[in-house]
Amino acid sequence: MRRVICLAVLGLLACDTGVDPAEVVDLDLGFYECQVQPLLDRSCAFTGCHGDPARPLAVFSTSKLRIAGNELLGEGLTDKELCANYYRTMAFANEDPVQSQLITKPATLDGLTSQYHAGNYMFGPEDPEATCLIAWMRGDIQPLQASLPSEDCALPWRQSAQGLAPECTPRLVDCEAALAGPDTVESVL
Amino acid sequence: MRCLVYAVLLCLASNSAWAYSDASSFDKDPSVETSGGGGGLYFTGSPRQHGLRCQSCHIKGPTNVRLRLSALSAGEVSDLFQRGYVPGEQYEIEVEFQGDDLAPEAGCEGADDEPCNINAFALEILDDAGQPAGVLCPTAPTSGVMGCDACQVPRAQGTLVTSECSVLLADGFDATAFRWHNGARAYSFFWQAPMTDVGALSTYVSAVDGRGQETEEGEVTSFANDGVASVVVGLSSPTVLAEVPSSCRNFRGLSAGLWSLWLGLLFVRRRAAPRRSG
Repeated sequence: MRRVICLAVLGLLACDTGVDPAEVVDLDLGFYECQVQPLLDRSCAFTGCHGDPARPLAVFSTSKLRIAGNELLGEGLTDKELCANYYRTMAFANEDPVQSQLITKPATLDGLTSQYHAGNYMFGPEDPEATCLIAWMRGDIQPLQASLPSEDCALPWRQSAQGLAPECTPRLVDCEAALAGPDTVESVL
Repeated sequence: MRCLVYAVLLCLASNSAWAYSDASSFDKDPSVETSGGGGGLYFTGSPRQHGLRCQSCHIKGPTNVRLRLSALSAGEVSDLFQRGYVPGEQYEIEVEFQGDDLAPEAGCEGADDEPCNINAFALEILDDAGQPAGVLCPTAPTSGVMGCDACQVPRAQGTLVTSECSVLLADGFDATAFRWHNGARAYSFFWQAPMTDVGALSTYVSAVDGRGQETEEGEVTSFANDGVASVVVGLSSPTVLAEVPSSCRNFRGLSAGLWSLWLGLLFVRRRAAPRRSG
């Protein structure tokens, strides 16, 4: 009997990592829309990669994967698409942003060290793209009135038709309502 | 007859459609403001493009598209792709699709004002360090002018060059007449070789055989079912060429794909050979 009790106690101890699970907090949707979404659109959202709806981190984007089919290609993301992207991406955030797979996976190639990332090397942990993602995961916000990129997201390839940093004023979205709503075009900007 | 390199595509992942509405979209910001651009990625398959190629977006289509690369120098047939480049030489390169297997059933007659059946590609030539070598230009670069400034016409004959003259994009759009060369299978453009020997170079090409509109109302901007091809063709260094016995030179500059094909055929031939009895 004593032996059984010992084994049970050992079993319970084995389940205790001594670390409380990380608190899940909402990251800023506006920052996601204006800074993170373009980054994922450029580096991840290819239809042969994360533009494939079968991927855990499937990404809707203006010119590739659309929730309601090809009719929306070239149009802005719907609220539902934006919110789906936001929640999926946030699911990969980490209390220590540097350890997030959003940072570690794009820095790897195929093979044993790739964390099973089948894609290509896109950016390293010191690159501007990683800095931008880390800033978001650390809680940076995009003020509703702001239209210019955050300093942490000064990505060299971001430019408008005029050669300036593209403007983006975050929309006000009720994601719960958007995700429960239809896939239709009413919410297209 | 032009010297030819047949780029046989052996192991291509399937992918489909012309990612953006025209080649200039690759340079645009991937935001709502631009309706989604490539953010400066051109999908040639090179290390500069993070290995991204047409297949990254164009999925579920045939992968047996064949390309032919050939070159002229001063109007004469050149062995650029067989024996390598000559520093400072100006080449006229042609990329030809060996067939146009995908086209709309209804044809594209009278549809020159829209992309209906576009065969397109992106090409760049890099050195061993992965840096651009020479100057690409849709028309002949101005002689005596160094670098990208020599390219006075960045868009012509259905092709477009990026601002650093490092990537050549073919999309069939004639900006002068504002019409599309639907069904065009060959594009020619110019490459000014580096002024000095910069070592062996690699030509990266990734191409799409556009299927055209699937229906009368169909969107050509979808990504499914186009044919795709990607290939890397080596350009030998002139120094290496000078050191190689003439009997071996023809083997320099062959693409990895051709080597693979040659080795594969050798293997098949050996297996197919009748066994000697006794």
